[in-house]
Amino acid sequence: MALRLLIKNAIITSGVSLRINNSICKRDSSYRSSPIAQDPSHYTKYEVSSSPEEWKFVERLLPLTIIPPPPDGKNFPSGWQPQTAKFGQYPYFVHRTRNHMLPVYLKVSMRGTRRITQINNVDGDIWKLEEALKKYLQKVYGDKRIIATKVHEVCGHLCIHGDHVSRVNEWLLKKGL
Amino acid sequence: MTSFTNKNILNLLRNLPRISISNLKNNDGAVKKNQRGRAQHGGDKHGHGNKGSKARQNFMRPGYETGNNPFYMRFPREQYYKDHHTKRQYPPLSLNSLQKMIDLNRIDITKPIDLSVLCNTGLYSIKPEDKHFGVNLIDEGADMFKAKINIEVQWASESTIAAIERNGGVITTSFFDVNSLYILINPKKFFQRGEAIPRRMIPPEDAILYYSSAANRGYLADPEKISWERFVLSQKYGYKLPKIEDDPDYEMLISRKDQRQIFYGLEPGWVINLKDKVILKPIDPQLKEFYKS
Repeated sequence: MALRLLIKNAIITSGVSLRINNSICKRDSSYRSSPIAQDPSHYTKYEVSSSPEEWKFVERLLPLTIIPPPPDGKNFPSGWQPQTAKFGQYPYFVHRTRNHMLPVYLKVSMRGTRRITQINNVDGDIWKLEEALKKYLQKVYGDKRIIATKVHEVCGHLCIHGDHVSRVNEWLLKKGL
Repeated sequence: MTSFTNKNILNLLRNLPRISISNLKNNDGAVKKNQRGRAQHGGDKHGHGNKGSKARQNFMRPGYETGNNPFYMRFPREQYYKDHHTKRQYPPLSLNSLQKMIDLNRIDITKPIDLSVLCNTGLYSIKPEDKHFGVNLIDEGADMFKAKINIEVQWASESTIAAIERNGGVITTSFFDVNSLYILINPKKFFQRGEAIPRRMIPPEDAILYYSSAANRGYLADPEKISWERFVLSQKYGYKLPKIEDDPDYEMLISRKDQRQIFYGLEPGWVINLKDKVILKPIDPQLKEFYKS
């Protein structure tokens, strides 16, 4: 370390060539230690092709820069449905995710004993949505079941105790959300 | 000469310290302490630190029996998962998710699909550093799969092959070595490095059989045998095999990679310049010979 510092100082003061510095701290992983390119006669010869036919094969290997907009239409084989409801149609609104999917997730915690269905991207009156969903789920499961919910109004999250992901998805798609 | 050295040694001996009570010491191992710790590491905390939730409210790992010889280690048995960490892994992708990607225009089915197309969607990824060797296309959602595609995967089950061929599609299973995989999963990054596209290596000994079998639609199999196997599978699953010769997308459906090729249409040895949008090709015959073989 001391030797390296000494030589570094010597280089700074006297301006000796970089060769000494290179020989001491050579890092093979760094581009700084790699040899400088020589003139083209040292390398193999090549031909340059700018054919658009060949460039098509390169172009399709480059990823899309944006996510394509959601397609119009009905009855997709995968069961995906576009959002048909307009903003303002209901007092509440659930925005799709950036991948045009429903923002309904199952959160498992407490070593798998606690299951919570979380709905994100809720806009508008979240309390009306909670009321409507609670009513629907109680109708589905029978009135005896208690549907415990938690509303995070600021972030627009609605949490329902238990695993109701497919039921909630069903309801949202029926509403066109 | 000798008398001179003897004199010196004698002088030295005179000045050296004598044996006394201050420099006396027991021999090594002469005194033994009569102590015995009552556990593996001398009766300490048993790997649980000092007090607190980590010492008291611990959830033991599955199968641990608080110091007993655990049940799963008690009897000799054949290890089903032996060497699982060294085996090749193929992270699954279901036909259901593939159909969803196609429906949402994340994949263009007018062009052949390979691993780089799947990774470029951002919805599927593999990690070659975790011994992932490509995509395993699983048959989940085979009944609702409707797309006509030309897809190249690394592993596929019989029902997956049937689901794709029923819709007039083509499937190939092909092997990529680790170096080629890193290039294939992120082609843009590789092109920016400005290196020549390498050759694809042949599969290892234990994978040759899979990739040369026509039933698995291997890329090393005889094309005539594959067309026979296509017919056999259609008879087995009871569907009418669509004729790809009469298909309007015939050119797309028959396009396949060479055994040494990593990308469609780009040969090994070429350098892609993304900035000037040109391709540099070697002229040297020796180099050409190397990349061809």
